[in-house]
Amino acid sequence: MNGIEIALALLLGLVVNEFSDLSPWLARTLVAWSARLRYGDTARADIRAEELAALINDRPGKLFKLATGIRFASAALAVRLRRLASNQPQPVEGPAPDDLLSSARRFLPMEFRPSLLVERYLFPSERFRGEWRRHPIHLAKSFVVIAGYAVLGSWATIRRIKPQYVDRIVAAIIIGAVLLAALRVLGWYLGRFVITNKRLMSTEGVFFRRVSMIPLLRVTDMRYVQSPLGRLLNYGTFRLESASRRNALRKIVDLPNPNQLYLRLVEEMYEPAAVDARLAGAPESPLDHEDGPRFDPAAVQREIIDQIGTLSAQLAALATAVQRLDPAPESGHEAPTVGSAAAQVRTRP
Amino acid sequence: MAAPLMSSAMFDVVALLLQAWEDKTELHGWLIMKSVRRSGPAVYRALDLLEDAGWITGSWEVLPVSRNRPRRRFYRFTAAGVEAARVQLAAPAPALPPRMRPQPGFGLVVDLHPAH
Repeated sequence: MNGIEIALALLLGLVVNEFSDLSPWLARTLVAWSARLRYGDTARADIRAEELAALINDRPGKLFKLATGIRFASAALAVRLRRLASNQPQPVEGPAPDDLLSSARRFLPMEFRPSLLVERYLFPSERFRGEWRRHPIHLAKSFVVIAGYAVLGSWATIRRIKPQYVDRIVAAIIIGAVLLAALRVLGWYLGRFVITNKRLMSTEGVFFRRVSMIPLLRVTDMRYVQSPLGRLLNYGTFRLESASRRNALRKIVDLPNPNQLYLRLVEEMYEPAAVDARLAGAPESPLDHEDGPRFDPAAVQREIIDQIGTLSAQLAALATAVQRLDPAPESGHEAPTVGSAAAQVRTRP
Repeated sequence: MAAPLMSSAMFDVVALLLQAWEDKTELHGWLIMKSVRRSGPAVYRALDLLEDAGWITGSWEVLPVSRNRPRRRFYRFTAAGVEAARVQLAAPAPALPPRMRPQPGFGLVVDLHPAH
């Protein structure tokens, strides 16, 4: 064993020692961060940050502390990512959404009206069940591909093209990439996956429009595949097998909430009556509101002004009545308050 | 007060807190974690939901001024919460279907209940 090895062993020992001293602090930092990440700006974030730090203090074992801290942090990170993916930036204060516990058995909220984009592809007697955009990850993937090609193209240009043209060509590549990305965003924005009681549809494309469908009755086999990232961000790819050899909708990539979509589809296939019943019995369907009495703001404003007028007249009458009931104040010490209040009320209109 | 739907971690936490209510003690985060043997995030998710449902309340540990460390937070049931929790725990757990076991399929098994 030579000198270097001894020095290394000593150094390693010191590092391990330092690290085990460092790890409780690291764990406390992690849990504080996780509380902020998990609960956002709510009051609960501060509470949790402090009590989790106390929890780390209570937990025996320096490296165990660190492990617990990492667990809290990763759970908070997962919650945050999921929230980001579902476009719900802040945790909601107040009563808890209980779907944290029973997400598997819950359904996406039912949409009732197809958007204008989709409505023109539906025939009159079919019942619309919902439409979805692809998950934003779809967009992210195509951005990565575009950026990759742009970088590759620029690199090839710089290597191969005469120096006096390089600037212009690189600029053209970048402009082209940005335009293509914009086209992809527009395409993502306009593209829909539609379920009706008769068929599945997908409408896509900005310039070229592709409307493809597969009848529900012809779907003989269905599965969805989620990558690990897909499970974290809650998207998946559907594969449909149909009776025909070449069907247009064989693979539908990057759909959001795949399990709920799956349940929707399966229910639509096996129990269409149940879906209808659920739609009919839905307590807060927007249709009810739309069919109900519409109010216009002007009428409400007039009504409120009328009511305020009536109320102030009644208040004035009440004030005079109280004044009449009271003995007349001789010195102004006994009942000036009611009198002055009444006077104020009466002078106001 | 809507009863939160119970996950198994939450079931354990509720049972533990109910025990503590009967023993007239209060529990803090690490004690709960240690007793129910669940991961911290699972325990705190349950605590969040229970708190939101109004079943439990938390109170800070009172520290002497000289001690400079983060305070613990103690949890106990509210009066309404303990009723709801008792109802919830008393409800019979859904009986699991009898577990099917693969049986050997050849004729060498001794028949314990021969049909005569």
